[in-house]
Amino acid sequence: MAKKGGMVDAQILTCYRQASKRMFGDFQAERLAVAVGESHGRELAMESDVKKIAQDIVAELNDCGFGTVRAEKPTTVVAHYDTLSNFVVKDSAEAVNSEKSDKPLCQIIRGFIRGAYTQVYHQENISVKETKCSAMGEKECVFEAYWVPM
Amino acid sequence: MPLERVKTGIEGLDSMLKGGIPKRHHVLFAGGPGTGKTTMAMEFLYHGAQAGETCAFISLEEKPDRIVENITSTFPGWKDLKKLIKDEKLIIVKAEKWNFENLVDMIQSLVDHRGVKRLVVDSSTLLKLYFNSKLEFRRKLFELMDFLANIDCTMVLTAELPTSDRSLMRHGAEQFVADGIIVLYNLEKAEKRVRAIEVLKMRGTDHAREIAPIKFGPDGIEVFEGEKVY
Repeated sequence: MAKKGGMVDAQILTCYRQASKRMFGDFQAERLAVAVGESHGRELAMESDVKKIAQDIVAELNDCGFGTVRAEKPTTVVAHYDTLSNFVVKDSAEAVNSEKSDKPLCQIIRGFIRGAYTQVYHQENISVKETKCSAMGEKECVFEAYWVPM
Repeated sequence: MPLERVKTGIEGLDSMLKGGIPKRHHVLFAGGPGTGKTTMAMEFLYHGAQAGETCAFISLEEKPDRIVENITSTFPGWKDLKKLIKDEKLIIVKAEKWNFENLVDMIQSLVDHRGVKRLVVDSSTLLKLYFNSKLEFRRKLFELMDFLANIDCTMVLTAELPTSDRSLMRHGAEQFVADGIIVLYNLEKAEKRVRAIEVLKMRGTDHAREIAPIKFGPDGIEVFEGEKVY
């Protein structure tokens, strides 16, 4: 999929985030980023299945230039919920050029992972949290995906 | 341009609202414990789903199975409820507790990708507990409402009031940010309790000013507009 659109540029992403924050405010800018990621994640999942979705997420984020991405078995479980997978992103394009932040910044990636999972499972009770972000001083960004019990 | 409205499907209530809730409005169904807020919110969705709209109920506490169980025993006449759920015309989900981000993700996903036109979040009383202070809750609620204003969806938020006594009701932050407030009562009348409804506020439209008695029948809520409660 990424080959059709090419690579994202970290500098442009930072400028885009700052501009959308100025224009729409923090909350709306974040929602816009999540919406962009989610749409792309859902599109990816339409050509995937539950068995290979995690590896497809990794491949797509890598191919798009969102950073160096790998999937990991969850080690720090957000809650006592059933987990899907963790994704670790080194040099996240959303955070690498960013200002220092007191909260996670990588909303496109977060939305992308949630969109991919919700589409492939056709379930809404999936949560994705960015539990570490390099914009907050961490070495890498970590995304934890898990089921919310119904 | 005439105001577009969303019919609640509750006959007397639509008449009190002069045709229904204005489209894309955010309305609060408020009331004391046991007044039927969740039930009425579900009826709003049920009629929308029956009319072919995709509707969603996001619960912050109760499990979807339990909600369906309760509604089926309250309204045994809703024979097609399970089919509407199976056909995904009526989606019932539970959001993660204490995770506001997950709630907003769900709303955005349901509206953008599942085409939800009617949405209920049950309840704002629990949502309040997601935040450390009243100020933070109010700020987040404003942000959420602002975000929802840009999407094509009519939303109902339920809110528990500490009492059914009209004179003792206090107004929380959610009552100021909502476009409309419909209050449900469980009033005392000659040593009996009488259920009643009032449209307290509805921006952009005229509405009935009187309190009307209501009844829970097997097929839904009946509103007796024009009849006296006392």
